[in-house]
Amino acid sequence: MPAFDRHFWLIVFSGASLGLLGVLLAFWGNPDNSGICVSCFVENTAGAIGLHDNTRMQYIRPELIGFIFGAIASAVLLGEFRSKGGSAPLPRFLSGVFLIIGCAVFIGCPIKLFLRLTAGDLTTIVGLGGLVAGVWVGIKSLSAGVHLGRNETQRGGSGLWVPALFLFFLLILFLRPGFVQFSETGSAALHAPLLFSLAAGLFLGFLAQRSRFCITASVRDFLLMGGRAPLAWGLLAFSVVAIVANMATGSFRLGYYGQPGSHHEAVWSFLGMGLVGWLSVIIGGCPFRQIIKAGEGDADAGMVVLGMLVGGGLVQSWDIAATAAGVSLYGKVAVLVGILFVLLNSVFYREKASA
Amino acid sequence: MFSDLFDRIHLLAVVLVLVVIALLLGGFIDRGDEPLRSKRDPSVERAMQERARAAFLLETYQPVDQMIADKRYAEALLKLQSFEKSYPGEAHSMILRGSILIAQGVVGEGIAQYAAAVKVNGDYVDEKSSLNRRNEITLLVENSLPKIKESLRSVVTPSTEKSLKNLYYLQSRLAGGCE
Repeated sequence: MPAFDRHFWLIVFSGASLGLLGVLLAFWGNPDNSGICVSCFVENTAGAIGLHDNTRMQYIRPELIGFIFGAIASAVLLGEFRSKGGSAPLPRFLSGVFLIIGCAVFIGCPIKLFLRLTAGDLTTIVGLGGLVAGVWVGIKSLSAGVHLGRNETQRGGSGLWVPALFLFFLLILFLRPGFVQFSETGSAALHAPLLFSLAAGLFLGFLAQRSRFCITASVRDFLLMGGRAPLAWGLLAFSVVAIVANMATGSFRLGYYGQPGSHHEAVWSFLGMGLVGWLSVIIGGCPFRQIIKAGEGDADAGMVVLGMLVGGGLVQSWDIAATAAGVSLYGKVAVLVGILFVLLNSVFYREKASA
Repeated sequence: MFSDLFDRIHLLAVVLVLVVIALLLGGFIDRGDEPLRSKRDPSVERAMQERARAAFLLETYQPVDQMIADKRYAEALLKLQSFEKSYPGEAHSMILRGSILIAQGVVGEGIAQYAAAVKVNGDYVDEKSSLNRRNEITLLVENSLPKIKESLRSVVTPSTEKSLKNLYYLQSRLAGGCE
């Protein structure tokens, strides 16, 4: 059993809050089962700033901005905000691209995977299997000596630029200049009231920075430590609260068919989430955690976030993203290229013990 | 920070640049041809295009809608054929053909036409769109799904399986979620 200290309860509270707000944001207007989905939000934001032209997927999601600024507030209050970076910037940038590709082929980030699962969507079970397998392979890679290098405190304000970018997003969200696109139909036209979304994002960003809670880290710690891992209890709290909230809001629909934003291509769901799990372990966190770390001044995570934005544009422009109709040929190839990318980096970035 | 002349000059320059940006955006400085350019604002262009597209489709296909309302199905199918020569791959032809085929009892092909139309253009299941046919598609799924499942219990044919797959696709799109 874990130590039931203050940090443990903070993690449990963070997990429960993420689960609850993930369901409530959908209840308040976000797309079904997508109350919180970092990859979908990134795709929407990329579309809004003109990185793709799918007119049904364009909206600057206030939750993302909230995550960053909540994390900044917490990091500044705790004296943890430091510009740091310098660890394999380009592989991290490309990892961000492939994280979104993996998520887009599955239709959702790891948070959405659990939101879909707790809403009764049985198509996610194979995605969960993929995520666990990917995290397991990632752990094995780390133990074999794969790592992208040390992240060091840096001179200058490199950690300020991604928060500055999101400040710009906040400004254009409110000012709505003509070059920003907002969908009038489609899933991006569905959103909770702006201030609700922003407040929820700020609250969750603050909590996630303090607790270090994220889905893939919870899975990783569970595989490493079993029930002694506090993050695993956070994930359990997330799941229990989300199930109850889904039932209370009438969003629970147990079944394999007719689920919102899902498809039945099990192999590709498995591989997509496997890629996300594997990459997340190597770069130190899933898409949500990368955004929180970018809010702490981590320029390496900032590179991942920039890669995610570019990936958000590419998956829509290049027809990589899966739909309820299934996974496109380009989506399948992109996941395989992603797996190739991690395999090659595992070779290039492996430190072998000297003989 | 900002302890020597170099830093102070840079700080002053930063403030100056911010003030100029604010004045420019606030319209206090002559913005050259901006008023002309803003007439071609991309968001206005896009909204116009989308609405014009929907209006064009509804107007162009109106005769087919009328024939369907009058139950002149054969005539409507012929008219759709002529439209398809002019506008190949247009989802509106598919959705109308689906509607005619369902009315004529050709359920499997009708469902396939509806699914193909929604794959091409999600506006048909979107309540906010002027092309919205959500109620019609919901009714189709609710009526056909039990029948198709029932028929699959007795005889399994590739066409019935295909219809079931198409119905599940439509059901999933009706359920919402991210696209």
